[in-house]
Amino acid sequence: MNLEREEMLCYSLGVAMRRVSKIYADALADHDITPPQVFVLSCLAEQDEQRVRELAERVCLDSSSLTGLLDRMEKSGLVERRPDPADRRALRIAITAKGRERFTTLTPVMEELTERVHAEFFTGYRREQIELFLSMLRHAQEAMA
Amino acid sequence: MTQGSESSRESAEGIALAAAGDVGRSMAALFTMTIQRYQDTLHDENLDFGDFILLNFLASTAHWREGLVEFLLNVTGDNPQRVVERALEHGWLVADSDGRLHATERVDELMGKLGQAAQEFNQRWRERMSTRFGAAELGGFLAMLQDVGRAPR
Repeated sequence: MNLEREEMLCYSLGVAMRRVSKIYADALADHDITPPQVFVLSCLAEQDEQRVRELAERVCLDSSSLTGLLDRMEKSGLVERRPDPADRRALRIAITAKGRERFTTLTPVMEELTERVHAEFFTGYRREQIELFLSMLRHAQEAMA
Repeated sequence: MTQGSESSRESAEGIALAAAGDVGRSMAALFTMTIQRYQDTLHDENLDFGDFILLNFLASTAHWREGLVEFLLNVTGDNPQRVVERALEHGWLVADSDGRLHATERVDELMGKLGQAAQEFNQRWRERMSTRFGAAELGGFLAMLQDVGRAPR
């Protein structure tokens, strides 16, 4: 193999993501919730009552993985499945009052964690470098979709 | 179920979106797309991404047990003992008479397959990104990504 491991986007991305994710996972464990669950809550808080497929696309999961996650969140009372008025065979995922309250409580925690991630990983970089990096991350998603 | 085992299970389900902040969320979304390109090869070999990272490490340098444990703790955050046991079970590592661990030829074989997929993906990524960003910007992006992976904790 000619590529050094760090030259592989997949490898660098995976390692970087794991390190960033660990900060969120460790901190959120104290709040008895996982980062993917917060991600789902944030998507539903922005736009409630989504079909599983739509929600899966927004959180970048396949439907089967999301189903297991939603099962656990429903059991915790954070979300609920409701009949889709437009399609009797389909269901929509809705955030519950408890889920919304939990998300509101977690919002400052998430903001603090994001600041921490910036401080831990981007110290020494100028603001425009960080903005370019984030813009390239987003563009890469569009380019590779 | 404990929160820890819940987290592990969600990771095992392939939930790469393990962060809801802007940086983590963007990385996670891109990573999910990226790793999908390797899924066939990983699936055929019954590997997950943690294995991929470990194999990369094993394939590139000679390692003693101490180095491996340090790497796993600092970089992947995985339980080193469990990962080493899995690597021994899969035949990716063998222990010599002094108890030191060495990567096997099987690791080179697997990395050959994964490396080819990685090269193809990298090439496609560069082609698509270069319509908007210059070589210096692409280089800077990768360097920054690598910095995040190496940042001291």
